[in-house]
Amino acid sequence: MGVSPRPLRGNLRVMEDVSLKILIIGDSGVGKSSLLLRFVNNTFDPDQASTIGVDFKVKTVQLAGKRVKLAIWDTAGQERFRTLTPAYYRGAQGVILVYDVCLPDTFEGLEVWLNELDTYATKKDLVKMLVGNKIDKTERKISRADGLQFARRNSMLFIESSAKTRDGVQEAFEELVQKILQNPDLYTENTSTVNVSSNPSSGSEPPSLCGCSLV
Amino acid sequence: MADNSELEKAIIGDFIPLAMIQAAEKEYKKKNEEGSLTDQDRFSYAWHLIKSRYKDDIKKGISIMGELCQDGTDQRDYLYFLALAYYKLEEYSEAEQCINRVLHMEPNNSQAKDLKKLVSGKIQQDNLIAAGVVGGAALVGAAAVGTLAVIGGAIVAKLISK
Ligand SMILES: Nc1nc2c(ncn2[C@@H]2O[C@H](COP(=O)(O)OP(=O)(O)O)[C@@H](O)[C@H]2O)c(=O)[nH]1
Ligand SMILES: [Mg+2]
Repeated sequence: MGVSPRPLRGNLRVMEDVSLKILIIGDSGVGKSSLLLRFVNNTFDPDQASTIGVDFKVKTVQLAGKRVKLAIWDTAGQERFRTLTPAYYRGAQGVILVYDVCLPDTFEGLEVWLNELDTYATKKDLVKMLVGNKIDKTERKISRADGLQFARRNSMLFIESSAKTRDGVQEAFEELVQKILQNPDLYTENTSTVNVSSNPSSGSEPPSLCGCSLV
Repeated sequence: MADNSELEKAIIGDFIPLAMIQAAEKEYKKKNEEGSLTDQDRFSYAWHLIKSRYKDDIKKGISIMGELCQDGTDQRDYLYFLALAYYKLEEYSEAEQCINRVLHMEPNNSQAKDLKKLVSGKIQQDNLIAAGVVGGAALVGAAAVGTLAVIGGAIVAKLISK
């Protein structure tokens, strides 16, 4: 008793805290929300409800000696939300772009998503991870080689996954985060503005001048 | 499971830039004048308003979204955004009614369950505060009287001792 409790404290302090904003995009129904829920809650729902606009989840992981708080924004791919969700691209350091290996349309739609990212993402060197999901299904139409080739051509990381069986899910998120952590430019400026950076307005809003009542 | 405070911060802090709202408004007014407004236009404008940081915008968003909601299709989405809007305005019992209707349609919807958790938390907190104010006021009152009596007593004692 009474022996200095300090070393423990000191050890905890050494762990650097990093906050990252991650985005999940891709056509409706490819399994974006399922991947997120598998990663965050380790659950899978065969009748996963379609996302209303945008969903938000937080998860803290320890990687590369850092405690990394991930704020993950999961967007709805449905047409009616297409013009609304780009508001959430601001400030993202990483993006997971998902297609369904059984649905060629969702693979062919990838270009459109990349263009949208180029237009609306504010961090131009954000890290992109391409994920071919639903590999548990037998009726695969897009080969692993095709996925890999597309990823290489567009300087993206690549992985195949199944939210149903957990295959590749953890890896998809962790490899993305590892890659972001290799580029301190992407996240260090962020540490001082942790609270606002995860939101679409990213502090670009002027303070109230009109005396309107704020939320 | 998402930590409540983080989720609350995200939902409450989920503003979109003023310029985007103004652009949406311009588009809405233009189409309205042309007489070509679709439900998607109404929805889009209401969505932008609800994501504003100004209460008046949010109220306007509620009124447009509420009208859409009468029409029947895509009720789930409208109700969810209504719940969100009421939550931001701190009108928690309205928020609860809307989110309950979403959960009635989709009991497993994790997004709706998250919002419901926040709303319930606020309602509980409000109830506690309401109970606490009454109890607390009585306590403070009693303490004040007691303190005055003590001070009064001390002054009298001092006067007498002189
Ligand atoms: N077999 C299988 N089904 C999946 C997988 N991921 C998602 N699903 C199902 O695909 C449907 C759409 O998933 P959802 O996550 O809502 O897609 P989102 O629209 O991209 O978010 C749901 O019925 C899921 O249960 C998977 O890896 N394998
Ligand atoms: Mg979804």
